[in-house]
Amino acid sequence: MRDWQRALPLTLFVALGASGPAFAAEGAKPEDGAGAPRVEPGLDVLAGYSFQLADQGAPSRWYHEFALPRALASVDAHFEEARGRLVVEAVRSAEKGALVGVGGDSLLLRLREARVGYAPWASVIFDAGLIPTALLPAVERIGDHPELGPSILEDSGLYSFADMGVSGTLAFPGERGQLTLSLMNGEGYTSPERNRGKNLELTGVWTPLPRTAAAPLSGRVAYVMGSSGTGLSRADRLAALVAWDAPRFGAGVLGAYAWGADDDGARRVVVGETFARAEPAPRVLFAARASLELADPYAPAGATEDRVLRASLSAGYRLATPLEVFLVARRTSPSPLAETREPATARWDFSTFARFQL
Amino acid sequence: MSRPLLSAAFVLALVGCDAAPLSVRDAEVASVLAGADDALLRSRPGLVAAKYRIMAADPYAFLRGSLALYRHDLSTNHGHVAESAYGLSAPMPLSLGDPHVENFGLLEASDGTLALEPNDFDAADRFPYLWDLRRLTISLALTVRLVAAPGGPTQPGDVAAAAARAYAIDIRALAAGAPRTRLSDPAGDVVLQDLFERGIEDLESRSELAELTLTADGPDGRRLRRGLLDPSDPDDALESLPASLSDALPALLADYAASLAAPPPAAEWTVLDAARLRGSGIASYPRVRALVLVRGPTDASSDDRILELKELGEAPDSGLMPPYGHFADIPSRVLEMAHSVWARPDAEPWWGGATALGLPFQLRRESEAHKGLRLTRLEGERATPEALSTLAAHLGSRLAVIHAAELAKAPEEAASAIAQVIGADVEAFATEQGTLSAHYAALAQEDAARFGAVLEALGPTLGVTPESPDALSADLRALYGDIPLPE
Repeated sequence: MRDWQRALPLTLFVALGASGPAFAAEGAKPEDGAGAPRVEPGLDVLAGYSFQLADQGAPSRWYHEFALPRALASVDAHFEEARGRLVVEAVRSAEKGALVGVGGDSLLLRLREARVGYAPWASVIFDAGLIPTALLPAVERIGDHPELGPSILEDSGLYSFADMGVSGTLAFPGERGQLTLSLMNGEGYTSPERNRGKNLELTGVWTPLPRTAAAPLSGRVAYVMGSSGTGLSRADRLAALVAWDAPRFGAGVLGAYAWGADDDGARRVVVGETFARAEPAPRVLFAARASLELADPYAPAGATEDRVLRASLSAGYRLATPLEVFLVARRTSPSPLAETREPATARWDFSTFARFQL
Repeated sequence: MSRPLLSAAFVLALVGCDAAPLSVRDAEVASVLAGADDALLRSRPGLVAAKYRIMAADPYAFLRGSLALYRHDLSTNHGHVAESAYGLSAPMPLSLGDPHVENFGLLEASDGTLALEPNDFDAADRFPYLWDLRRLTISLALTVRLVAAPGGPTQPGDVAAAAARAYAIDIRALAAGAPRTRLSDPAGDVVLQDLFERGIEDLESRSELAELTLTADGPDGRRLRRGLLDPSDPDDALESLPASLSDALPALLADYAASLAAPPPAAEWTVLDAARLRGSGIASYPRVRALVLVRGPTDASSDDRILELKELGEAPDSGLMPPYGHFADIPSRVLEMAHSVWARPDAEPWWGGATALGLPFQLRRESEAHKGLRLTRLEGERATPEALSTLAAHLGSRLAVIHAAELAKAPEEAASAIAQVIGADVEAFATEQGTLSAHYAALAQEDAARFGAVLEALGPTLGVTPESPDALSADLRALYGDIPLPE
């Protein structure tokens, strides 16, 4: 990619940021409230037991473990036009199989979000710090069933939940949606920045029928112009999500196309996913997700097809308002070539989880 | 000018200072290698830059130093290297992880006999068998490209296929119950005959003492040399050991002795001298290395022993299958793997491990008899099609013996599964490996050729900004022994 193309995202962003007040002209300042800061803590813990049954591998064909797939704690603070948010999550200190971590392979707390924000007008918000990306957090929030496992956006490595950077959001009048422009390092919040290229992410959210019974319907389109690695390998992404997000029913369909992946600027990857959650009766919960990851989509089908199919289903019960329990079944089916990339992933996972969310 | 325009002009001017853009593959090579070496590039940039300089000058050194790129190419199927009609992702055999030609050599067993064995376990763990086999066959195909006469009768694919053929025949036999054999007789292989002859000669003369030490009259006796070991190679040198490592040596040696199956009496561990070793290895070039001279069974300087101390790192892509880690720590991984896959557990009875100053180390005898296979020896009659194919077949057989090994605590019965997936048509299997390996070896040679230009474009650290020297403690800086970055 030429220099001016790399410079374009940063240039656009700075130009837009510098002209922020012009966008905000139609908006009005948020009400000052009582003039006292508001602080809202949050907690989301998913703990359970998982049993794996692999298709191949003699004695190690099965495996089981108690697991903590999610442990998040958050604090939101608001004061007048300013806001801040801090989210910490528990992670293993080493990758699977690594023999050196912090304190062996202890569970550690790391930052997932750490941002400061300023809303000079009701329709404009600026954020800076470790900020969420646009699409993956929306998928997680609408899907809201982490016991199903990570979304294909994250599992494929194409998207990260957050990254270091700045963003500006302009809300459309009448709750019709918003436009967000972000400038980020581009390597995600779990990796150090490795190049001078910065990722520009432009996301549009459209709510076609606000303030009606169809208000939960929304559409999102996100384009990322990015790079990865010290070689500035191309890492552009285009994704779209159509979703219904109501308290007792939510569903979505998403697709993403990547120009460049895994530090290979010529690699093309397509992912698609559909998910749904429902509470058909009080306290009774169901959720499902199916996803497809297709690398090198222009290769002929057959032996060279690099494809992974994943499907998850969960059934749960809300014991108390913040406490839910689930039974989960998940199937991962890679093509032979994909299993070369991720060996021993053709398997069933059966899990039971308890989730506390406040 | 308005504020937005001023801002835009500033950013354009800033980013416009970038160097010329790289091609897609150039960028990929840079990003993958820099990502794999990230921690070392930040803490010991000069040493990693020296490694890159060596890699850029020699295609085989590039192959040795770019295991991360091979693993990456497997995951993206670059050059079709991941495609096979014989894929098997599990069970995974005990694997070397990096079984290229120069990672095999002679080791002296406890009975004093020499045998051809794998001699590098830095990347060893459990992996799909084809990852290992193709790393070997690709290295053989590249070897042919580098040592055989261009346009001559030796074809890279034929030599790679010879290794795959021998592997397939032997793994099928091993799965059927044939014993794991030791290669101590090089008859019929001119390359191995040369290796054994030179090894036996050095074993008898203990030439490492003459090459690495000096003797003096009086109580000081024998000491390690200091300075350049080979005047023609400015990288190859012995230097003073940092004080922190010197102080830690007694405890380190006690830890090491505890890792041996039959440790000698403590008196034999009396340290006479120790020195940092520079210029050894390719992939492990930036790692801490030292030689330790110990007293041996008697006070006579003729039975002094030299141990090589090498810092270990994580194996790339470890933990691919449950329970995602079979070993307690890195020295345990290396030791358990070595003792399991060697044809006999005491193939090198002095091969041990230890932890000191927070770093994992491997220790082994420094012996001139422990000669490794080297491409520089493949010339004349040792570079004919017959010689290279015979060597390839022996290495393929060795890999089968390795893959048929089991961890006593966690057997996987991998050999049977591999034999089953290969089936009876050994020739078709060998042809597939030969064809793909020859193709990928050509790509690897192209990558090696472009690596110099990549370094030129991104700088000696591939664009990674090293930590400020102040970010490391003085002790750690001294221990790493980084060297200045090239101008």
